[in-house]
Amino acid sequence: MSTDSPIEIVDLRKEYGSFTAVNGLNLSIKKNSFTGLLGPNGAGKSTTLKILTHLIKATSGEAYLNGVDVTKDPKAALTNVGTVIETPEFYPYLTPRETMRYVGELIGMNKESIKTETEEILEKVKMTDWGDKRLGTFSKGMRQRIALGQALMNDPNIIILDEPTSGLDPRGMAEIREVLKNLRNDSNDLTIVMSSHILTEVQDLCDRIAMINHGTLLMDDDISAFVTSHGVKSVIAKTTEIPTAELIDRIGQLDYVRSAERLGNDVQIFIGDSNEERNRLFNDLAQMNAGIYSLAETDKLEETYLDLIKESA
Amino acid sequence: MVAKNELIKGMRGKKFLVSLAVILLVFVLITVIPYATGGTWSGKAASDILSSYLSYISMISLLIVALLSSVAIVSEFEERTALILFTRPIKRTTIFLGKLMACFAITALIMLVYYLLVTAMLAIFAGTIPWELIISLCFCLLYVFAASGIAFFISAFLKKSSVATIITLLGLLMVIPIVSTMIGGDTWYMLDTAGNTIITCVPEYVDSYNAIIYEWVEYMQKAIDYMNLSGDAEIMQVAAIMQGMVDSYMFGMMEPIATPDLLREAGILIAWGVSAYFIAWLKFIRREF
Repeated sequence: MSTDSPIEIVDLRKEYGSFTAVNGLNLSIKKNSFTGLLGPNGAGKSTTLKILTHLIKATSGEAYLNGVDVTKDPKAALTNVGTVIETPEFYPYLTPRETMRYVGELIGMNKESIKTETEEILEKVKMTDWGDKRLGTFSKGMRQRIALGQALMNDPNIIILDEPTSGLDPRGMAEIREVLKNLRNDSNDLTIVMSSHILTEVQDLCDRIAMINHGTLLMDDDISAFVTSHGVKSVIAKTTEIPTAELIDRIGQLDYVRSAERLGNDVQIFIGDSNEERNRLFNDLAQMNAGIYSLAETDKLEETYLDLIKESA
Repeated sequence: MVAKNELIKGMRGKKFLVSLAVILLVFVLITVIPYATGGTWSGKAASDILSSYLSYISMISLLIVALLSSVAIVSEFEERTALILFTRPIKRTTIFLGKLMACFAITALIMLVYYLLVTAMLAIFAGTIPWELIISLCFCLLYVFAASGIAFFISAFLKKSSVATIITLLGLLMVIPIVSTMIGGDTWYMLDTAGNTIITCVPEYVDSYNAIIYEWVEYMQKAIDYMNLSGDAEIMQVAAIMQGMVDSYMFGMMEPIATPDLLREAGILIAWGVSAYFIAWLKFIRREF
């Protein structure tokens, strides 16, 4: 296995009777990357991550963590891996410090390291003041921060996150994202893979995207390459009056504009993905004196995501 | 380390306190009721005291096993704690053994508390501790081991903790005893019969229990003979039905107890426990989240 890919999935399959959840998936996660695993419901994201974390068994194929096939030797493969799968629960009678100690003992850390790391991690996830309170009294957001904290025990070089903000309120989501951002910025040797349905979250946190649908890989690239690879982007032009057919025609006839159409009281304009074209559009619309007061790009990631899903359907 | 965590978890849980309260309540009731009905413990033989305190212990131990052990596996999946525990570099077998040891230790601790209290009663009122108490304790622990195996077995296959507890209770307290009764005869190989060694290891208890049965049979037989002398067809028909009840010891419900073969019954309890734990383990290591 490549040393540049701490996570490598080779021809992975998972079948539930006649339903194939993962269909010969091949994926390499680059070292030190923060990869967002995208795909619609039922695409096979969670199944893949659950195979990687030994919660379910693959029907066939291989899944390597730090060069060890988790389907053959899960104990060795998971030694240097932290996981947060969905929103896990804790034993309510334990405190965060006791939970960290338990996880540390499960990993095989010595008492001194457990103690030191527990304090560092509680600081990182901003739970130091709650370290001795029983987890049963915590909010979902607080428990998820502890979930993230326990994943950091023993300083893993791989972290696997499956929809870590799922079910949290906006404040809880923001707290988890902040911890993840800090983690990404502060660590030198850390590869993170995170599945999520929230595209803005992926855009905010990840530097790479792997997209799967029907259990197979559609695309695996840098996030910037991902959003530009499809070329055409749309811009919404807001007008002071309802746009006329004539105005839409005039915009559509501009040589660099792919097409233009009315979208409610606005005009949606499809152009190439270059700053030059955006600049030309801005100037041309100003010269048309058509009452346009705002130009806004639509969400590129969402568009590309939907395009890819549509193509793979 | 799994066992240590499970012990902490178990002993901080409400079910542990409830179990402890149940066992103390049973002890207090058995102690107080003789005084409330004008009796006393003073002057009673050690075997009588022992019989009184051990009569209900097999049923109570099953209740505690159902409360504490039936959720051991299913709760990890239902409460999603498995998402933390199973993704760690630790074998499922280690987790299973840790849970088994912790559940057994907690239940055994509760039973030990009860036996210590009984020991105190014997020391105070009889001035002696019969060796049957130690034998009974050993069988109680073996019974807890075997019944916990059944609870683990049920827990490994179900998705809801509450359902696992109810099925464990029904299985241990109703289904197995009903099957034993339906089979009839000396069902030494059944879990409940082997478990009854907790009390049947006291010879005086077996003797006094059987004496009551034989006395009942004797009176019933006298009544039947008297009815048959009447010559009335209807009365003789009723007498025939009663004869059937006497001959079958009330359809197996009032059979005299045989003095148990201690080694055989211990082996039976171990066999029940090991078989149940083995199937539960097989299911547990294959169970997916």
